[in-house]
Amino acid sequence: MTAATTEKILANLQAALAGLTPTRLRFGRSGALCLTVLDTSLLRVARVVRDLELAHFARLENLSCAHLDDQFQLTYFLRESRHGMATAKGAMSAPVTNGGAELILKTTFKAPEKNQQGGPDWPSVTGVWPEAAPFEAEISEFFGIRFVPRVAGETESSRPYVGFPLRKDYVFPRELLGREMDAE
Amino acid sequence: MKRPAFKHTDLSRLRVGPIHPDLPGPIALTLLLDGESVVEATVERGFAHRGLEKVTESRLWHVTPAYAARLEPEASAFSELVFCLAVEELAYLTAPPRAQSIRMILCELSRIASNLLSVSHMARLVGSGTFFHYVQRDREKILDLIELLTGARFNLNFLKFGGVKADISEGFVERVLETCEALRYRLKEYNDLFSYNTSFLLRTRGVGQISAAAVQEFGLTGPNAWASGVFADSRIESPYCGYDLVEHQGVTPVVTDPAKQGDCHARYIVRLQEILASLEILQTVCHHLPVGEFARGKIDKDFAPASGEAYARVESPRGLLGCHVISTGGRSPARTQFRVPSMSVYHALPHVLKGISMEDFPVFLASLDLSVAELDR
Repeated sequence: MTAATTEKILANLQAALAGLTPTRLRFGRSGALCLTVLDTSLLRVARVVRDLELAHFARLENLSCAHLDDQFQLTYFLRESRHGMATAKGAMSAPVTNGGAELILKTTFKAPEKNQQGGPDWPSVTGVWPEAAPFEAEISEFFGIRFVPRVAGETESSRPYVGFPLRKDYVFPRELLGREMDAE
Repeated sequence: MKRPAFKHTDLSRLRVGPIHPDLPGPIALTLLLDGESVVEATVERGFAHRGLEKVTESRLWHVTPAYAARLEPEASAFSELVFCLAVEELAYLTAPPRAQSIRMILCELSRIASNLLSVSHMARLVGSGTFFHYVQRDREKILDLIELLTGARFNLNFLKFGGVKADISEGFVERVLETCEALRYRLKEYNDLFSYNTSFLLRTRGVGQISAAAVQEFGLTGPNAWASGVFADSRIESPYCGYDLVEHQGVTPVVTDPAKQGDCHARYIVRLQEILASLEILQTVCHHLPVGEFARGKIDKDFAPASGEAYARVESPRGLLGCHVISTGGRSPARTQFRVPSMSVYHALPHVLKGISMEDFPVFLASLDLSVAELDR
């Protein structure tokens, strides 16, 4: 994505999100457009970027969660969806979704004090991007974040609660380790 | 479309797995059946979870690619590569051109091996033992090449940040070209013997169709999406390792009849086409292999990228494989997250299994090429 396109998309977003301008961040070396959003505005921003006139970010490619210090960081990796675009071999029957701009939405919120059962609630984006469901289910299982509303068909784990293993404060039971983890 | 009508009998419940010969690995399916047809399905996973992402958080940076390689042993080159690309972006490292070409050769060989395994599974499940053995015989030749390059056939652990661990040996390129030429003839033989065999068509045409809308709803990628007419290929979308320099046409789904688009046969054909595309890429790369160093930078126990984060994506044989790496400047990654293509397939299973007849169930699952190793990473 060229810098000019990025600027155009950003201007388009700022116009669509009047009074709710997300902060632009640097993300690695990629030059991808990365914005931070607040929890209260996440769903509104999600709908706007999906239906943006200049670029429909209709594909949620990935949803990643990290526990950094006392914060949870959720990162939404979006990709523009282009219909009817031709490949190198010539015209194809729609829908075709090759190519397109990238957008990264990032949001952070406070993590619970300890590795408690029943983590914080967070708005689910499955209403905007249905493909987010498996990512949200996995994050719920490993970080204890509850996404609301719950996705239809998602079942409670039948296994007993033993903690949220991808949180930094999770301590692995000795019998699972097999060897010291910091042996190197 | 070949699909048995619901008989409206008393519904029965059948639990398949977690260990079952028709399943690609330890997952459990609970099927609600009306006669022979699936009315409802639920899927459970996590029977062999290995905590790979968590393990990387307690390992030194320079040893972590070896853990990434364990993501999917059948196609470990891709998980190593995506992890290395993300860390290289963090550390401001760039692999030299020769290393990039070697990575590309390794990836395309792995892609061929993985796709051959997938089509051979389908053949075995429809009872074609001859074809299964033919394909496995050819796959052995590809695995021999991978062994010649890396010293291993699975779990390669060959890539490192800034390049690869060894240069190619003398005569390797010639052997790759020779094998590519032989495999081209084999693909024709596969089509003559099996691809359009009447009994195979009866078992796969119109079976397990996945619509383009479902592909987009569940986020399916790779051959499963291409067979349904949804085309997105990371090698074209966001080129890496010099894929933009290679004339790569990508795979164009051949099925134009909507009644047959996205069925088991279309997925099978797309995988054969993908093998052909990989052969073309291999031949181009082998003829234009750059000279020079195969690794750059000092990667040892003191290696630690600066604080920051990066996201890389590659096109694995099953679809889009992504990796998000976060560094806080420490001796280990603060977080490694993989976006695996099988997750979308798993998510779609309860939906796409509806209406499948029990006799078609094994071949349908095989056509999706679900990797449980990726799911339970």
